[in-house]
Amino acid sequence: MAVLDPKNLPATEEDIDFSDLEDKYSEEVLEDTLDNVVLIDCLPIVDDKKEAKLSALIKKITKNIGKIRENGIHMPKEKSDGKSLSKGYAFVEFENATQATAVVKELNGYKIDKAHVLAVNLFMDVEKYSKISETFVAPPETNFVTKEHMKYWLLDDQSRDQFCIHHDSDLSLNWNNRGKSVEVITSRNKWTETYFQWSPFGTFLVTLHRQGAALWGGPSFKKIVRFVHLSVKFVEFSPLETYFVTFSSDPISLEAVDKALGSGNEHLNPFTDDDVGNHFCIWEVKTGRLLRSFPFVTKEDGTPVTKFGWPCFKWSASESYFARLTPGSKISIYEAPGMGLVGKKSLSVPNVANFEWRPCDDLNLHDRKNHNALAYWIPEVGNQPGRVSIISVPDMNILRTKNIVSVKDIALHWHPSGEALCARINRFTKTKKSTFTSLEIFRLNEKGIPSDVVEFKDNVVVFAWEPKSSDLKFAAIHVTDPTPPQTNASGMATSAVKSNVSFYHFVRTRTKLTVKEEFTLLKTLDKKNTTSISWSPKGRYIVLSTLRTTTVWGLEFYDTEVETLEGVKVTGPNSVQLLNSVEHYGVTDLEWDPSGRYVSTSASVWRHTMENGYSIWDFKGEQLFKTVVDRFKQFLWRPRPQSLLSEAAKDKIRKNLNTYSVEFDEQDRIMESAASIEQLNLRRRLANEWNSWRKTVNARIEELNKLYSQNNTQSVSVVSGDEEVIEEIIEELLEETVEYV
Amino acid sequence: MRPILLQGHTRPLTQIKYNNEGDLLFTVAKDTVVNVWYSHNGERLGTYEGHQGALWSVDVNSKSTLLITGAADNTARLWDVKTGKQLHVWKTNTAVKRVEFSCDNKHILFVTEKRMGFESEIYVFRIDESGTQSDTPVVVIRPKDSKATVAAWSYFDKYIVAGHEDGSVTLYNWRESDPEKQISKTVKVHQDTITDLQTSKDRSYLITSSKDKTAQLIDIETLDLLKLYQSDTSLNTATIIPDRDYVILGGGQAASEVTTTSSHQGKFESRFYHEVFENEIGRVRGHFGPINTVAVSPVGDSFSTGSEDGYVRVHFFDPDYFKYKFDV
Repeated sequence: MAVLDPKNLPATEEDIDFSDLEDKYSEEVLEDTLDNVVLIDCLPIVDDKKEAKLSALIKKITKNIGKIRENGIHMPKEKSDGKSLSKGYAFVEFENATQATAVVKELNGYKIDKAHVLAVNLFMDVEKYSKISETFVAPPETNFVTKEHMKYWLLDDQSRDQFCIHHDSDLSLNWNNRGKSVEVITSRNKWTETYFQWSPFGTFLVTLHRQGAALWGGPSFKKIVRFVHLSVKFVEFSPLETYFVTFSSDPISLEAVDKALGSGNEHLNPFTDDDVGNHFCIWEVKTGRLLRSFPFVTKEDGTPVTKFGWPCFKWSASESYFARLTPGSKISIYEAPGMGLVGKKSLSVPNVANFEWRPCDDLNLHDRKNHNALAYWIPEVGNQPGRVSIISVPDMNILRTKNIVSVKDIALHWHPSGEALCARINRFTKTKKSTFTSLEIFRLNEKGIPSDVVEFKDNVVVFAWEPKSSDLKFAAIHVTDPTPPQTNASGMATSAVKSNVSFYHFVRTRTKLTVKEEFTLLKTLDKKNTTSISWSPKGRYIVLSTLRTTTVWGLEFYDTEVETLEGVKVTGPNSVQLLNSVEHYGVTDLEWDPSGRYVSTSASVWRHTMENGYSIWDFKGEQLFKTVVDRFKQFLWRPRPQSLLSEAAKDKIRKNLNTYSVEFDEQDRIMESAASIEQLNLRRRLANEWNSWRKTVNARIEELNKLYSQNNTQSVSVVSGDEEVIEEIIEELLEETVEYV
Repeated sequence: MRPILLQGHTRPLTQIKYNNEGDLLFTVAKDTVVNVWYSHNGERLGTYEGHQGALWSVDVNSKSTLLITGAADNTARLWDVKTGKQLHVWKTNTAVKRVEFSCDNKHILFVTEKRMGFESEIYVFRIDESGTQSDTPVVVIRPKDSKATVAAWSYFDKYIVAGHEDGSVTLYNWRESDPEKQISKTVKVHQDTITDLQTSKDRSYLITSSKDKTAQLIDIETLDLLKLYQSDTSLNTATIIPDRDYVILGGGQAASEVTTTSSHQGKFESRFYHEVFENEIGRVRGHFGPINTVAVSPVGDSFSTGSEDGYVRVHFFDPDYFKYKFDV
């Protein structure tokens, strides 16, 4: 490089040698100007005469995509046999780079005629790819890194369950030590920005951030994968944790994502131009790959429907399909992982109000292809009655349909095993002045899918299937006035509504000639304040609770399969019995642990600020643990995957429970004594520390006492405890009267 | 045992004190009256009248002859306990928030509020038990970083220990007149304002309570944190029970934060903690406002609480209390 010689400065500016700088920067200038040049290859070879015609053709086919600059077509030629022939390609200069890119996209592969299919590329791309080295360089081999065991918590030798709590800005993960104490595994500040969630099998902890969602797992709770979706609001897993759906009310913008990722990380941006403006994203959990993004559904006039229920995309039990509703017109069913519409078009169902997939708790789900079905309902429109239909997917056969009149509203409740569907139908009475509820229950595992009706005189507001029992048991809360009570700003009802809770089950009685099948009432508990019913995930036990009211906080634990001491099952109304009735002040949420052994209740600061915290109860309603935590927000048990044991294996364990329990009782005893010894040791240590500290202090006081008494001739009364107390008790008999009655 | 309810005040209680023998109970509230009661039956012995504003603090000397009070009428007053006669008035610039007799009864300290351009100050005056009182302070301590809210004398009156608004505790060499040398040691112990500071019987350690929901036990010489008592509500007061290993904490949601009338969620209970093991032992309910002040009889047979609700409750310990023992 030429260096300026201070003694011999150039005379004028022109004399300065800028060549080094020009060399350095010229290339970039060139690149800038060539971004709008497109190379069109595989053109017919033409001579001078036909050149104008070909140029006109090029102009014609690009007319609607981009504007060619004046003299923008350059066709290199060569002399051959005295004629000047084109080489079969042309450089075409467009007004700007965007137009050039659009031309490449549209015209690459364009067929002029049979012999000529155009190959259109950006000139700069040709430049770029021609520079790539010919020799193959093997990419560096990456070492195999052992991943952590994602399901490690299931291996706990005491089969404890984990739970995660969210208070203030801290998220902490804990072991539940049989409700007696809580062992913190890890606690992190600002782990999530809004709230957290578990995946359906508990493999992942989901945290939400401004930049997107992150999944954490393994013994060290490392970040497993993250999904970039700015201002993500709602997330949802598919039932087997294969896919992940996110929603953000901010439309996707490439620039915003780039900005959020920071410069140099643009390659991490999962979105392309096709995704711009969309709100929903579907991701693959294992790879973190974006599979597809979706916009809001639109009404017939094209306006987007921004109000929707979550989950918006519902998954079939096998995860092969997912669907979403365009209210009033259609259900769009997509297949996974291809993300294409099944049958290339949405299922048109005029007036459709809602739909639900048939769930399945069978482990061998994948072998049962015909299990994919969904139910939808249509309200009454004009003369047409309302309708509940069950269709199979993907062949869209209607399996069962039922017309219903005087419909106000229908809610669909699938039994968790998928063997029954309950349509909770709110209907008008004949006068249309009041409403009542009838339950239409379809049994899917039987031929023809028969249905039964359970009529209520009043309105069923909450319905819940018992998840495990063989006799299709369910509980329902019914009230006379279905209008929900008034709530305050944070969603707490200001008064407790009187309600009744009823238990039903399916009974089949065979006589010689007939088979009587119907849902019969087991028991009604009336004059309750129950707002919520939660069955144990293992069935049998249920908690009736009054959540989110400002005046009543009752919890009632019931056993619905009472057995006598001899182990004989009680039938009839007496099979439902109260175990315990308790109160958790300010309770807002209730959750069973996945094993059905414990129940957690919590009072969240999201609803009110009084005594926020949580309690752990056993299934009998005995309080085991209670803590008040400032600004407590969320309590969620870590779910467990489905058991791998077959029903037969489970039965065997149940039968031999006595032999197992001896072992566990022994473990309990050892643990309890260990805990108390530990506690005693701690206390002993603290007491010793305190006593030794007191000794040093007493020595100090002694010294000071000497010091001050030397300096001060006057006596100093310091430690009042040393003074002797002289007490004189004088008892005087003042008056004594004796009354004779 | 059924507590004795003392209904002698019309406004929230601010401080209560037992005399050295534990037979008299002095109470002050935001009304202008100082009450003295027989602690064993709750009979009112008399009142000390003269203050023009809310009373903040009271203390009696160890011989139960002289009483000192501090009030929001910018005065501290000395009274004759027996006759109820007002002996002297010290005028200050701002309200007197805390008063206390030294161990040898020869000095008093008072802490003044920071207000109207005046900084918070700690005054020390000499008390002449027989004659007239001087209006010139022995020393004035001016806390620098944060205003002093409470103060007490250490053993042998070696130091004055003060709690500050920023949660720090400072030892002052009050015998030094040079402000630079006065500060012996400062430790930040709380995250929020220190609301009360009481010493142990031998004044070798102290307990602080704070709005940060904790109370702490602190060595008066080294200011080492000895114990921490965590509660679930902001604390207004804490005291050490003599001869037994317990401390009592009192507090509750501030009146402005209480949303419902039920006394259940206000956390207005007095809480007993084990002094050494730091765990909560029990609660005593009763008040329907936050507890502003708690005091234990020096004899150790009873404790009293004064609350925002205007009542003083005198509780005598049940026989169970004396039998209760921890497994060690």
